[in-house]
Amino acid sequence: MSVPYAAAHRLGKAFYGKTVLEDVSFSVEPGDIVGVLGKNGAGKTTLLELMLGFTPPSGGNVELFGHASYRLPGAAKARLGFVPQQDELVNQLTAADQIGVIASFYPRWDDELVTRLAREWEVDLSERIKGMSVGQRQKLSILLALGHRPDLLILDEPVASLDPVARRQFLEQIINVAADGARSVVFSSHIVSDVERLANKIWIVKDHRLYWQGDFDALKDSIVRLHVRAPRGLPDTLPIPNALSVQRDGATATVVVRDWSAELYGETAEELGVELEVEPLTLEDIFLELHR
Amino acid sequence: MKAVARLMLVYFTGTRLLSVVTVLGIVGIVSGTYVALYVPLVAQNGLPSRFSLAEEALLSLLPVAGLLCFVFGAALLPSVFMRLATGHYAYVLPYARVKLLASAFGTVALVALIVSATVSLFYQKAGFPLERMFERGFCVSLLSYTVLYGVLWFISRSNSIGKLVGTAAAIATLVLPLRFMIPGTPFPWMLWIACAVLWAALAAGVLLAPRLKLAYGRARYWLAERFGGASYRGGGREIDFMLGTANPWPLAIGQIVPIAIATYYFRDYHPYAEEAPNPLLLLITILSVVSGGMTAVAASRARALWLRAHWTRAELFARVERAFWGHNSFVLGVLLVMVVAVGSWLELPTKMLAFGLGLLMLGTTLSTYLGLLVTASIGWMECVLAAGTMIALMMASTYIGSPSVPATTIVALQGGLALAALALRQFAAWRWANLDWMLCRADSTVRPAT
Repeated sequence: MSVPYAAAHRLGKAFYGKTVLEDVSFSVEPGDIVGVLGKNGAGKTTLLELMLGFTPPSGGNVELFGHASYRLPGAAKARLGFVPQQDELVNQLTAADQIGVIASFYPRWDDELVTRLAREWEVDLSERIKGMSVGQRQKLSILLALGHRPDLLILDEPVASLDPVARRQFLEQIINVAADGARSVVFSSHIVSDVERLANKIWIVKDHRLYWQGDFDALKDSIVRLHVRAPRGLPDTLPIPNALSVQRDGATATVVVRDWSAELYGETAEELGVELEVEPLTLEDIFLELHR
Repeated sequence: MKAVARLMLVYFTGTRLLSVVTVLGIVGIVSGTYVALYVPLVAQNGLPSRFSLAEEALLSLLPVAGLLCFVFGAALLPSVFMRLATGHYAYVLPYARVKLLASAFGTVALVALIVSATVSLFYQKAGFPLERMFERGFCVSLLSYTVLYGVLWFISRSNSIGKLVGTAAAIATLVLPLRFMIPGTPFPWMLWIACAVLWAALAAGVLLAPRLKLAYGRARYWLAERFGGASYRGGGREIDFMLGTANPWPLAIGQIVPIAIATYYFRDYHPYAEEAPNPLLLLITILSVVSGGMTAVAASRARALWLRAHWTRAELFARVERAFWGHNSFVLGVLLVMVVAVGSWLELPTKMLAFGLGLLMLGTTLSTYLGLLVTASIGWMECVLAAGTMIALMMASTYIGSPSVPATTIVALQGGLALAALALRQFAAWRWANLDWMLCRADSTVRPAT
């Protein structure tokens, strides 16, 4: 059995006594495109930084390519790419010089790919970084993370500064380049539609835990909205299992449930004497319902 | 190895200006050394020469200027090194910390090697043993240039008081090697140990940074838990808070240190030492422009004020000007008191003191308005105005320290400087009245240029 690119077991992190993440376990296999969702302050960045070994875990462990990420050897780092939320480019250099510096750290560097992408993304390599717009800087940061064709690319809010058109094209291109079946991408984003369109696995960070992880289809099958109709009026209490939210309106109610299964809820409907209509949710709806 | 070589190349040639400075440095060193070794000059051996003494003086300056250019050619070292060593790249790039450290050591060692080799060749011509001079020069240069690049980084990151202290330290690192390069004196082995300790500490800091950061965080948390966290207690006006003019005392008091050191150093210097400029007066004149120079950040810092307060650009200029004068007058006041105190102790002539006090006021005034002129990035016009003003101030300082220059000449020069200050104020007010906030963005864009 092959070693997963990234794996964590009961991972936790506390800063100065305050818990930021707890009991997080996951695995990233070759070919995975993982979208990480969560509200501000949910712990997304901390999760990614723990994966990268920027800070040691307070509990549990996390490994990259089979090595503890906090003590990642140089050879393993050569298989890793990272784009931080805020770029760390050297203002005084030109884009070409910055690329030259970063490229020199890697044993392999795909000049052709970087030149092609720079042309397609309209990044002027002769321009000094100080004079670049925020979007251009973000693109350059991503070029720097892609040039050595990493096996695992981790992006923390990579396209937040781009307009919707550029964002959509750009993110698709990143995924095409970085996840060619044998490679993996983990990216966090506030833009749920991006995650929905591109990711084949979803992680939802909520209340300092990995509230949900799995395939997007499984998530959509699990969390649904039920429209409850009672011909003779709703009972005072609606004992629907795993209800995330309940909204009553006269003889009808709308209930969002987790771990939906047709059998279980068929039995519940019979017991309560109500009719249930199931409405599948978009990822954005699911995200909003979870954080209601 | 590839990364180390690439980084070293970028340190010297990362910007067009630094490439030019580095090339000028190499040309200066090579040509200056050639002239010194192979061209007969009167000043060196008393033999007939085809150059005038003035030309010889210029030729003798070539290697010194070349060495200085080469040293400052690597001025990108601190900023690139710190950017990569303190950010995410240090964690993500393969063997990043080791390679960065090697590139920094390689660069400083290369600079020290070139400097010591050049200096040794000069001494060898004068009959001193090459190996001993080279060892002495290399060790001292390695130590002082390590500190110099550290100081350059510190200056780029710090506030006014830090800039003042940093500039003094940078000058010291350039002068320090001369003190230890005196031939014939026993070589202090402590310098090798100091070198080793300095680089060992630097290496430990870079390689163990994640653990040190963690330990520091834990220690801070432990202290906060036991003794309560620190909290900001401040007061004063919002405009001063926004402009950074709320507390003039660190800068005002900070000036005392270099003046005290210089006074001690030059205590035996004759007030009217022939026609040479008085070094103490020169230093104090330089200090008088530091607080004024702070105003170069005024426009970018005032942007938020303009957005919030309902002032016109002209009103904003008036308030900013007042705020900076409120700050600079304290700094200038301390400087004047220091000059009177030092002058009384050293028994400086009354003429020198009287004109000196006026010159300091002019220095602060001129630099305040030069700083207020910076409403976008610093261009050629600002550079020329600043250089011209500085030359005029230095000239006035030299005249004041010279017994043969009549008082009327000094009065005329100071009058001219006062008129220049008025003109600069008008120019600054006009620029603020037409200020384009798009060209005057974050502090960070102005700071490196400054």
